[in-house]
Amino acid sequence: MEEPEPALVRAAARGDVASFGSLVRSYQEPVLRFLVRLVGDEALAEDLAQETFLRAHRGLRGFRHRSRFSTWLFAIARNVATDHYRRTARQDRAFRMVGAAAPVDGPDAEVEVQIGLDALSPKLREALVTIEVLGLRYREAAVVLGVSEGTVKSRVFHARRELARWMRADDVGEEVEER
Amino acid sequence: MSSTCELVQQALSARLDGEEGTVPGADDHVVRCADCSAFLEASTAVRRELRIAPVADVPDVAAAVARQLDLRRRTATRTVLVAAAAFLIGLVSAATLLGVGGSSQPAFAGSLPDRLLAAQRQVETLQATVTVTEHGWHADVGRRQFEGTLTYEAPESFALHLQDRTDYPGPDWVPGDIDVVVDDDKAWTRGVRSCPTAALPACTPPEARTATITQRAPFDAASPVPLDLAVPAASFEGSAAPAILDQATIAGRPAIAVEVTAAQLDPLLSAFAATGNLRAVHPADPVRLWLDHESLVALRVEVRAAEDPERARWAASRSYDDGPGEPVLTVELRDVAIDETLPSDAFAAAPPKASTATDGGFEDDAPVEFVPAPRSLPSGLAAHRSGTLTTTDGGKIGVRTWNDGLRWLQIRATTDWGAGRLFGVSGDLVVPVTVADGSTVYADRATNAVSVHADDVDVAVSGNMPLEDLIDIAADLPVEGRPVPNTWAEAEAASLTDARATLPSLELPQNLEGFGDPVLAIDEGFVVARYTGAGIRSFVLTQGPGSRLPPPLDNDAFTVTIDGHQARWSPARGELEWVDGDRLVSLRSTTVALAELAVIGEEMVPA
Repeated sequence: MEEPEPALVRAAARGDVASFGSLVRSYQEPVLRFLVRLVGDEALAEDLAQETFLRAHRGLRGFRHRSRFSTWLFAIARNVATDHYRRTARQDRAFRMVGAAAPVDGPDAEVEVQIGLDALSPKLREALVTIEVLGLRYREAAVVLGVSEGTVKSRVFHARRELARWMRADDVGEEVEER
Repeated sequence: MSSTCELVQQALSARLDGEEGTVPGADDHVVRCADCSAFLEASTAVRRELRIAPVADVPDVAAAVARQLDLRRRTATRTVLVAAAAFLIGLVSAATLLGVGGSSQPAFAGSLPDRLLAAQRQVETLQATVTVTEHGWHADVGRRQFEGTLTYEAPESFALHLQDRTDYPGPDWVPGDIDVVVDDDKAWTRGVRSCPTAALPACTPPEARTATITQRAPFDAASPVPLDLAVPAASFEGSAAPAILDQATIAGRPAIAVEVTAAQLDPLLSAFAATGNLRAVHPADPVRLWLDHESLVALRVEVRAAEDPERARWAASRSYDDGPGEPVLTVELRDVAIDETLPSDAFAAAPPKASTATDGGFEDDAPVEFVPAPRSLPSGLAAHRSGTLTTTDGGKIGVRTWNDGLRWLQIRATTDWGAGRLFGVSGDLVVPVTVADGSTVYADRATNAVSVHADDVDVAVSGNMPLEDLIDIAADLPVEGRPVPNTWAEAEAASLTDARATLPSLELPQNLEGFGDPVLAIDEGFVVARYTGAGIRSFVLTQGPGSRLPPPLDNDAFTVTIDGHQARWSPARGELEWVDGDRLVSLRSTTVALAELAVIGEEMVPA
């Protein structure tokens, strides 16, 4: 992912509206994709993306270029999603997942992957989504997630293993139905 | 799963992510092992979906965010900062330079407040026709329109004449013509008395009220010249530089627009509030101000009603007919002539005969000996009026003044000051400052003045320049400032160290733009921090021990979240209160809206 010009970030931090707007436009697509995969709901992800940029706007003056701008921004997005989960009750999530699990035109790969993701524990899900959706290295994902590089590696592996098991089980289920 | 499979899958996982992941013979193992090949297949499928599948249509988050920020900015001007202004002004001035081919206009590196300070030195005269359009004053009238002229000559000659052109619904309504004239040592005003809207039209006396001052002291605070109506420098003194929002041609002149609140622009808007019966505006109302690009003269002022429920309540309590976001007051200048010769009778219009004159008590004379002058004056300042002011109780105050265009400096001194408090300043916002030669001066953020208490003379320095400049001038006076006696109120100012000692968990807002350093006081275990900004913008932050909020004093109080804490907002009091651990926190303001107080509350860090 391309990093913005440091001058652009500095201008936005000083309050230049146009510079901040340009940062938002550059990053709205990946931030939204990231959040859609984290929360499994496009409308909700859109709200959380707005919240992410509003928080980023507030925090920009404190951004010290110790990390890359993109990882800093995705860390905010991840925190916004985490805060959202803390607010919503577990039942709500279960209900939403059931809703998502009823595809109109039969199972397709995208829905299947999203259901699989939703079934993962939040820690495993966010690790896998950070790596896969954003294409970050472990070192960068560690910054976004606030954990060590080794933890990222291990969580991504465990996430993949659970997904592989889940998808195989699903295949077995379909086979049973066909008989 | 075998330990081999686990190792192989870990390696596959790392390798998928472009990291180190080698297990000898791993690839051969995958081909033979159903579990491992399923792992690889599933992981690749997940990658394909997650990397490639785009969000169907990327919604325009940027536009939504811009709208949100704009909403915040309308109520919280401090989120609009320096960079855009500097950038745009840079752009505009470059264009101007190209256009006029080598004009001597300097490249603008500074921010708008600094440019305004510089601009007020450049304007000597201003002439324009003025239109004032007022909305929501009374439900039966709709809008009122006033037309007239504005004339100004540096430093203290000013004439504003406005005729009420409103088509009133009946003969009971009295036209609200306005006249304000100041000409050095004399001044007069005429305007109808202001009435509560609910009592209109019956309560307006048909005769306009008039007031005349003779022997007026220079830069008299009781009959001020609204200098900001020419160049709004005081409105931006100490403010965060606003962004330039727009450029357009206004009154045939290239102009730039900035957005501020009515509280910040009070030095300008008060020109219309002092005389006549124009309606009030709410301190949080957003104002779009159009400034002449070259001279920074205010060409157009558009006040709109702030869009929040408290604003609506405020309007209802005054019977104003306002819609959220709707225009409230618009002031437009046309036929603007800057630095052109004025007709000799520009300020001659005589006050009405019925007017009773007040003696201002000032005698123009040679500079009085005991009034100290700074060893070196800021460049450009030239001597203006000097003389002696006799106060109502017979005291004698010597006065010297200087000016440079609109910019002015005044030094007053008295040898028989016995009031038991500082001369020339007052209130809660006075802080001692130790200057270079070790003497002590007292700076007042409220009135933008500096007081010096010396052994045989008390001196006050004031003017429309930054307080820091006035402190430098006071430090340069040939008198030695002494700390005030312990019995004087000003001896009680607290330092940050005192405040921390009183309340170890004390927090103060960081990154606070548009407000100066707080003036601290300690009151029975509570630390009171008073902040002032441009115009009349100010707030008071009070903190002390406590784990429960006192009972609410406002029936309309409601709860908001500040930095994760439940906070109580009392709209009638303008007070936001919450408990943080064992600390009670209160933010109180009548000129800063809830949204901005909330941002201030969220940015508090240990002091």
